[in-house]
Amino acid sequence: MGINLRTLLEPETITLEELSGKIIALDAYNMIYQFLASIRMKDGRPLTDDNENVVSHLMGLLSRTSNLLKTGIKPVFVFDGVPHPLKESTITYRIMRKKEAMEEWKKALSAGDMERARSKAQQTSHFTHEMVRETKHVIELMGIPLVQAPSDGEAQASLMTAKGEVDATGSQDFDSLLFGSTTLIRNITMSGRRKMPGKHHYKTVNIEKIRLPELLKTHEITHEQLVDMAILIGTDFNEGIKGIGPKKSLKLIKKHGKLEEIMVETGYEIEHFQEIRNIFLNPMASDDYELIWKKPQIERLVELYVEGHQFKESTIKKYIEKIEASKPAHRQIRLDFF
Amino acid sequence: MLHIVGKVETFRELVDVVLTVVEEVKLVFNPEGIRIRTVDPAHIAMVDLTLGKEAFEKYEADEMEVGLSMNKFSKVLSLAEAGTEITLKIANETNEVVITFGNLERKMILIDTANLTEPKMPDLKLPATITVQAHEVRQAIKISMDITDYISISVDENRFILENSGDTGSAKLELLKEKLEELECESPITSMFALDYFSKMIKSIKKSELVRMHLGNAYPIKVEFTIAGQNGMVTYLLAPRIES
Repeated sequence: MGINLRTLLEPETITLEELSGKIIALDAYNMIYQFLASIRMKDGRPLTDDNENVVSHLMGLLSRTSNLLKTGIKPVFVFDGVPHPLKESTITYRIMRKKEAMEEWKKALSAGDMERARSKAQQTSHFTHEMVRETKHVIELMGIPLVQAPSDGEAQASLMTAKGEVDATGSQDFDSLLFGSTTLIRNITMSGRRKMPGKHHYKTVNIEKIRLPELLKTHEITHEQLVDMAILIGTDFNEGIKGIGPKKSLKLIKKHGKLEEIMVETGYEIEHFQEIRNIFLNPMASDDYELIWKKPQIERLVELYVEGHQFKESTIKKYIEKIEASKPAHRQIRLDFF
Repeated sequence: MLHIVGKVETFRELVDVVLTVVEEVKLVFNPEGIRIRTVDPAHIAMVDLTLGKEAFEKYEADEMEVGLSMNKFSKVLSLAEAGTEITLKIANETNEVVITFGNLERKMILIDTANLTEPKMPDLKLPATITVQAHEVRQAIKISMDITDYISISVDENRFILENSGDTGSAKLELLKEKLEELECESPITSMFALDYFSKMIKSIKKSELVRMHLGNAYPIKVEFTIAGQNGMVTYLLAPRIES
């Protein structure tokens, strides 16, 4: 889930075209979960093939990624590794929520309440090992590089961004800012019309660009202070203090400077805060990867979707065409190269 | 010591050329004239400019290096009417240039040249050469502006083409050999450039000027033209964009 820093930001709205030629490190799990949650049938059930396998993620992957490629964007997919033990507790919480959501969904369906059923169904997305394997396969067939993070995928993507190996991190969450990513792009695979939960109308979702240096400058805080603020609010690694949101935490940090002082003043106790600080300030990442984009293997892609999962050729045709037409991204070189 | 008097237009031409790449620059003076060589912070566009003393009404200069804010200088120049004579004076042992025209005087503190490095001009073999009117190239840029952010320049034995294409369509300027002042090309050449950089360069050249371009395959473009009634010479170098 990650932390929600939305109220602290005034992101810049940009178009997809402005990202042409840019290398964006995408948090794969984050993206796939968005697809699993949003690509559904009317009753909330995920898209399935003739063998009852969930294929919502494959649909999303094809439709959204082909669009990125066509625009000349160079995506890199970063996959989570082994979660940090502190994250385990929030994962367990999520599994529990999924179970509850399943119960609610069944109830709503039998009562004929489609809206509620759909809303509950979105909370039950489950990304299995087989689905992960297949997602990686599709990404490889598209010629897109893949990076396996040792632990947090977002941490890996953020470090790659901070080092300048990629131009930005793509995710719905704000954690990459905590991990030190200099540029975060939100809604890159979600832009367009999006249905408002529980309502019957649609909203246009724009791509947002958030720059960490500017964010820190605007609020006159350091990166370390932003991490401390996040710990107060609650991260994937800790609960956070009840009643403290972004605005309150900002006030506290500006008043007291850092977490230790705040804890003394307020009596709040946060277990393992040093460890959590370390997770964000010294992200664990691997450098075992090659950022090379290859020619997509169109035939094998079509085979996977049509023969493997009974997608209609007519349905995927336009996406395949987009992949085939991918603009070769141009790189600007420097004069001192010559 | 420096004492130069020149028409505002002359100074403006110099300033406009330099401003296409940097805001602060090192001017190298000697008794024969002024020399500037600078590169933009991203190291993509370079300017090499020489302006002979003949461009000025009065020119007296020792060998010296002077750091100046082109932005500030440009603002001062914008206050002078067409044809006004501008005087620049730098006295020995001082750290400022005194600019006077009409009844106005502006003293500008000079910038420390230690921070204004002079880049090395790469030695390039660019096999194709064409000479064309700046006006034509400006037209090509204008028509390509809203299509995409790069422009492709191609030359072969018979023609010179500027083009680009994007989602909303494409644009092309094609000039056959007969329409060009000069065309020398043994085998076809193509290179791509960032349109914003290229546009800035071309916009700083007077429409009626002849522009000489040297190109190679996926190599920088070298653009040459004169300023100040041919008393000055400018060379632009712009790094290409390559397919990765």
